[in-house]
Amino acid sequence: MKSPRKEFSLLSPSGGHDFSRAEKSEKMFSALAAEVRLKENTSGAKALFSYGCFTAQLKLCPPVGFEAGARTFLAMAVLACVMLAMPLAAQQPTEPNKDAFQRVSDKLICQCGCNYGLSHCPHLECPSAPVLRAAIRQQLAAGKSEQEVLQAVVAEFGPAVLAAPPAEGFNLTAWVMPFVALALGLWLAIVVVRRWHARRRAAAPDPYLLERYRANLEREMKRLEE
Amino acid sequence: MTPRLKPRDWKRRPLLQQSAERAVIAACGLVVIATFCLAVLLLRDDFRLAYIASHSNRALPVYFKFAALWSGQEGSLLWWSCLMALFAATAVTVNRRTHAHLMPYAVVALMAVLLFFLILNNFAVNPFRLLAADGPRGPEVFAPPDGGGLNPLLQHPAMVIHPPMLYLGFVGFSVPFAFALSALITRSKGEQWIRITRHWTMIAWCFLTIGILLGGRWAYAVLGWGGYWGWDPVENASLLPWLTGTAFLHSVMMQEKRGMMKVWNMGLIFATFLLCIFGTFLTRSGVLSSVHAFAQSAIGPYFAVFLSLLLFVCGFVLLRRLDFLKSENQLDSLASRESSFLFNNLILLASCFAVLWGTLFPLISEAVQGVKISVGAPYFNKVQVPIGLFLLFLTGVGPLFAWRRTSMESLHRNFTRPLIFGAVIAIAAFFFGARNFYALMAIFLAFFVIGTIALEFFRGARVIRQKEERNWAGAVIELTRRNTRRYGGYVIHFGVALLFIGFVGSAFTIHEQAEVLPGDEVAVRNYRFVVQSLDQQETDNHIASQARIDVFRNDKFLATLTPERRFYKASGQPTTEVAIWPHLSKPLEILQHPNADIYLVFAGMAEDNQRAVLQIYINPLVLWVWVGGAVMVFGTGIALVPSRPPQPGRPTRKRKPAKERDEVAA
Repeated sequence: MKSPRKEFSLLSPSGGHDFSRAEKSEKMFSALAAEVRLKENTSGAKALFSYGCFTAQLKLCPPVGFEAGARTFLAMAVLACVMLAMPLAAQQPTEPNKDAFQRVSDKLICQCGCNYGLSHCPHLECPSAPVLRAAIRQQLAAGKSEQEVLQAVVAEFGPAVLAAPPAEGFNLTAWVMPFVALALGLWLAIVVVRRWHARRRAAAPDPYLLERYRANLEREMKRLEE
Repeated sequence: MTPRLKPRDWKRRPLLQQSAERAVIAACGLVVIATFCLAVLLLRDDFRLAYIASHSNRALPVYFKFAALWSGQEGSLLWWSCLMALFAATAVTVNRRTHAHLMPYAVVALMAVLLFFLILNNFAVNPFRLLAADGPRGPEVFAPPDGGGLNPLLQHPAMVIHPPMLYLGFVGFSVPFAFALSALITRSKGEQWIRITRHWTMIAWCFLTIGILLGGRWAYAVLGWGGYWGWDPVENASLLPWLTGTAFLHSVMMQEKRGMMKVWNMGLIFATFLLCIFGTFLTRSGVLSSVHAFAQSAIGPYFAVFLSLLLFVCGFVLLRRLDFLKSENQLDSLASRESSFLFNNLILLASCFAVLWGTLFPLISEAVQGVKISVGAPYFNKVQVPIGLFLLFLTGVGPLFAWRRTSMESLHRNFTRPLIFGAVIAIAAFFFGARNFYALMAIFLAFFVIGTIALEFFRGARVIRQKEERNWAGAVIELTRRNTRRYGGYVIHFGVALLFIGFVGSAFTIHEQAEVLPGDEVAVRNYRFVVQSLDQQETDNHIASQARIDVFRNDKFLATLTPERRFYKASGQPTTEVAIWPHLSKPLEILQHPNADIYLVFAGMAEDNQRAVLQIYINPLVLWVWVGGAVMVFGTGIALVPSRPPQPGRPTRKRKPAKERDEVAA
């Protein structure tokens, strides 16, 4: 299967809309197309998916990761009909590797641009999640370990498919830096506190008097509270 | 910016100053008129405007037409300018007599920011651009018969108020920023700028809190992935200034009460405002991709220039005035309110840094190792949860330390009972099946915080009751009135504790997917979902496929839910309409069946086109996130009310010298 990753990276997210609706007049279309060209990065990208013997060329609309235009919807409908015609038992009976599947997909994100976890992508027409899920199920069924499945998925779809960077190499800095910053800040805070405290002691009044006042005060406060 | 211009030089030209102040009001008026025009054009379906043609359509309900004002890049930036101008005009009107010496530079700072956004409005993303087509005599303006429609994801009630709230938060921080800058430049004495801007900061913070929570609510109800916070770049961008703003709200108290940390406070308010702008830059320039990025275009360079300019000005002024900010930092004891605030600031900033680092890491990775990677929710959860728990701990501990020093005895008195209370609840939760370390820690700490707050209210109210004829409720109200900032702060902390209880639920979410036909039944734990029907409905705006599902728990009927899948006609886009049912438990059942949201998503039709694909989530405790948010807003409201000294007219039980009474109330 062709890795869809590269095509998806073309889907630059933007606020534009797909204006290619059939029922709109040609005049409007040309004007809007000019408008769209102005914000060039809003243009749809063509992505090619091969589903076994069936190849559908889909026009994907970029804005929110997944918003199919009317044409896409039509293509999807055709696709669904073809799938229906295919003598393929699409239904999965009770799953043997359910927990393993859940653990693996929790570590991956959907590649349709939605940025959700793989098991959370709610878009049924999503071009990425079903493929990924099927691949994971297949490999788990073939007896691979979770780690091997993850490696295979990363090998095919690239490291961006992982929801969090692996803690190795340069990516280790992603994990370490927040805590390094925290430790540094802690050290700094302690240094500052000690310095301020020292300054206080240097300028402190007679400790004997202070102690007496404090004892008095606390006695009073206690009396008040009771 | 020349230091030779002392305040008295300004006073010599009162007319100049007056004209500057009036210019602010004039600018405000003009921007409001422009925004009003766009709103009217939107309501009138004037599709000659490119912005309206691509963000609205005739069949759109009126309130969404109005919300379309801030649903795209051009409109939302105009809206931003409008709010900014209103804030600037209000700040100038309120303060121009009382704080005349601060006004000149404050006006300069406010107007510089407004100028930047007006440049964007006029030259980069003009919302009034007209559509034109090639006619026989050159380009002609024309209006298409109908617009492309509002992005269906934005057609949700929370979306009508969420962006204005968030913008009010972002924009609101520009006022304290401007006054801080002005105080620094004019070497204005004392902590005046803090007193002037305290309410502004709190209001901005409050709006930001509301904005963030409404954003979460919107994501929860619309995006359909089962959660409310996905650590998406746009969400993170709104959280960054919230974290530094929260740190600022705490650390200014050190300056007010003890004259400490003057440089730090300046730095924090500058950082907060810069992060507001930086977050906007990140999410709108297309530097980072995001689910929520509904408004993007090539405004990156503008923002980059503006940000560097701001950074330069802030840094320069801060460095030039370091001598002026010299403060008598002294610490009497390590166990004091002061040091607890230091740690509070440390944790908030560490959290802010971690969010920023994780958000930017994909860019850093691409620059350093040339590999595009993702940094998603699992990363942020792992890093933020320990930091957040520590913060929760400080929420409980911090307020109980006294200023200057705290004795062991008072620590013991304040902490023992809340600690036991938290531990008992956590142990009970453990026995009822909560077997997750972080979740148990969060429960323990949240109830510890609630315990400390309850104890504080109880002690204060008891003192009042000893002296005056009041019932408990009256005593609590009187207590709060006497020191609204302190007790309002406790209420906000209570809201934070509730928020964390809501977060705990996410550790126990149940998620199932099922393909169903009418009449089918799906069992998830002790819940049963019976599909009654699958049918179609149509309105002017959209076509909906709807599933009617009866929900049972332990064979007891709970509710009928109707998740929908909508296909919007104008934009040709499908969305899911999630059905959420907050299941309230009876007080006694709460540990056994913690209240959970039943969250049903009609994801669409399965491949056979007969069965419906249903995503079933059971999200425990989510309700408390919204309740906690509401409590936080309520607490901010209390803290904004001025404190009232004890009323002398009340009947008292025992007469005590006034001095002592004040001590207790303070």
